[in-house]
Amino acid sequence: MTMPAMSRTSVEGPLFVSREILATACFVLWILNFYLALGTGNKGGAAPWHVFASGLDLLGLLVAVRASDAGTQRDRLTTLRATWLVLILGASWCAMLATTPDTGLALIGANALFSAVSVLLVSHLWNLRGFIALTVAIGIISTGLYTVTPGADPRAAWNILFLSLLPGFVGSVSVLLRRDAIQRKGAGCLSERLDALTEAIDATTSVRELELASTKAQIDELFAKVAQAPSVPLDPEVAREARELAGNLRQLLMEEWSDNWLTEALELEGLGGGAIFAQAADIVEELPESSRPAILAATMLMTAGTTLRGTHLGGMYRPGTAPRPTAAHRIHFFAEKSGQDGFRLTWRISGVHKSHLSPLLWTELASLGRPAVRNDRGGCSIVVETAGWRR
Amino acid sequence: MRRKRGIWRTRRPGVVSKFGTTLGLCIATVASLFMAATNRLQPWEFVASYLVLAALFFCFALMLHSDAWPQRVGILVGLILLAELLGSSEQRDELNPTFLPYSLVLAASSVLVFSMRKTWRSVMFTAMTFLLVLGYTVLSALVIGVRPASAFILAAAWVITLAMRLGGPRALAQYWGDFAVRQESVAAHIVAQNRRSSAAWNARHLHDTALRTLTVIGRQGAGASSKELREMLDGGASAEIAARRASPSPGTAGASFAAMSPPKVTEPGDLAARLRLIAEKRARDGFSVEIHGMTGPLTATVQAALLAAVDECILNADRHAGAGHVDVLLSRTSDHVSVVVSDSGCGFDPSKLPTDRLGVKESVLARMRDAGGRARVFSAPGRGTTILLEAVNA
Repeated sequence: MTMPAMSRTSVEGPLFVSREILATACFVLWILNFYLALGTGNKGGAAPWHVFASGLDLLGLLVAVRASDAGTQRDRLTTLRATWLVLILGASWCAMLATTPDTGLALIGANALFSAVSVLLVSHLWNLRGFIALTVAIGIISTGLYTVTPGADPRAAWNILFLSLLPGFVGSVSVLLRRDAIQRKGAGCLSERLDALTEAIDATTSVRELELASTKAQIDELFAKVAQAPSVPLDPEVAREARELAGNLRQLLMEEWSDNWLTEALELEGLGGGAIFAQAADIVEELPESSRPAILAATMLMTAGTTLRGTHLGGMYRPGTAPRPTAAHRIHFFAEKSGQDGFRLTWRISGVHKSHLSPLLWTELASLGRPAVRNDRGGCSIVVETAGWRR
Repeated sequence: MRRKRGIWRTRRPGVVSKFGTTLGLCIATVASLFMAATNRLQPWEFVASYLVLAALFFCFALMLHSDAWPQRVGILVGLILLAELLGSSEQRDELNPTFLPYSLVLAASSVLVFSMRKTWRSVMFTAMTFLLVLGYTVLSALVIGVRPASAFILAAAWVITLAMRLGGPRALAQYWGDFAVRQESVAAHIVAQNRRSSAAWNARHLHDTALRTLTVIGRQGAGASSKELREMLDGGASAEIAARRASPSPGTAGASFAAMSPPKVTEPGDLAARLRLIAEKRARDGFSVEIHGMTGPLTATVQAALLAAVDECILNADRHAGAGHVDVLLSRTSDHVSVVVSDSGCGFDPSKLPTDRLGVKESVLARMRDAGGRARVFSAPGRGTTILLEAVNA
């Protein structure tokens, strides 16, 4: 059994480890930009371009923050990225217009650095290919605008290009290093975890198997008895014994199916008490195979991931070390049919605000469909409409 | 010997610290080279600056292995010296085109934040290094008489690095923790799925062999001839022998159900022709099966599931529906295949099907689901039964 192959460039985000750090860095750089813009304004007279540059940069920052929010609808991300690009282009243009030989070139340089760092934020939920493309685009735009700036020093163009590409280079290296670490550690740990869970499930099923084997031996004996004289009608005593054995066998087979696949997988992980299923098992069993890994991962990230904050500081993944749920974070799961083939999946998470949920959870939910989230005083509810078997 | 703590203790840097140190080295080197290229240096300045740069390289390299205080002080002093040697008076003015490299050399000192521990002494030491480099930057600007924009850039770099130092390790731990949960979910899904597949196959196998035969015996063989009963017992015996052969060891022969592996799927062929063979086998006086349409070639998995499911539907119609005739209609679109099995028997309410009736649930519904398709039952008491089997043939 192997881990599903992970493409190095096409996996959808989150690309970077912390959105908060990126947002902080962007905000600090915006303040720096604003400071330099004020200096430019003092020297440049009444021309308002520096104000426009700062304003557009701030708007771009807000859009980038929105585009990096895990709870943002995935189909809105393209629009947000395009809006961000237009705003940044406008800000760079204004910075260029505000720059004269009298006002210096620091503003346009700092603007290039701000744009390059905010690429990391706006691409947080994108893939590596998109991130690199956006980085290159910003590098070209910033350097191009600098070269047409009045009084620009051609030597400094290389400096602007360096500043524009540096954050993208650093970001790409960090993503590639982390993915390699995931591939390397993940495959080995998955294998260990599979062995441990297989041993655990073997121990729990052996009792049931013994019962089944005992019933089967009795059936064998009955068949042997009937085979000696298979003339109909059969002896009523044999018929009665056959009916009893059939009842026993049905009962044993029913016990095999007392849980649905989701409950069984969660109980295997010791998370059975953390999730409550508010629907008959039949609907859960009808969920398409292709959706099941994401549904299980999402449910586990809700039950275990919510208690993660501040409790899992080891830094490295070890099998079986995922945090356990607490009573405060109870999950209710409800599955129902929707439309012709689809399903509507609802998770109710008590005592948790949506912003505290794991970013990876949103990636899993987005692979199922379009998640809709609602917060209230008691917790949050997530609804996903997912496609059926024809998907 | 008393163990040294706080700022004096040597510690092996973490991933975030190493990454930041390498980044600082790159920025300092590139900015220095740029400044050196744009300035006309005196020979002694040239030699001195490259000696300082070499020393900086050495200190940064040492920082990758241990962040002891001499390395940190060496980096701080080296960066200030480098800025002083390479940065001309014009370059310290934000109006100058090459102002940014000067600021970047000083901003590279912010990597020292990565070595800050959670002790007061370490925090104080880091704060002192910041004040030292900030003081130099401000004084340098004041001496020349320009606005201290480089000090603002320096402060911005330190704030960003501080955010990375404080939030990075925790964010990384959370990331790995969430990744651990996802990995565990993958493992749990695989193990649970394997168990359920094995249990499902066992249930279908037992239903189609032992349970079917037991039901006939339970009715004292009513509806079956002695020959048919013998055939059923022979079929059951063959299955038992096969199951025993598949068991891993003699000691666990009795518990061989879980060890039994699903049979190999049938070779792909014409589904209609194979169904006609089943129809001939099931037909008897007063009960007939007619096959209409065709599906063309199907994948082996889909064909095996459809064959077994249709067979179960025909058997149910014969035994429970009291219908004399069953129609099986095959059709196919580009990538979907569907089979409709209908009879005009007594019908039943699908929502009231007893939970212990495994025939429809396991041998039809679950079997089609496991093959990537689905089955739907349309029936009502007195109105016959239609079962629609659908699958994606890809």
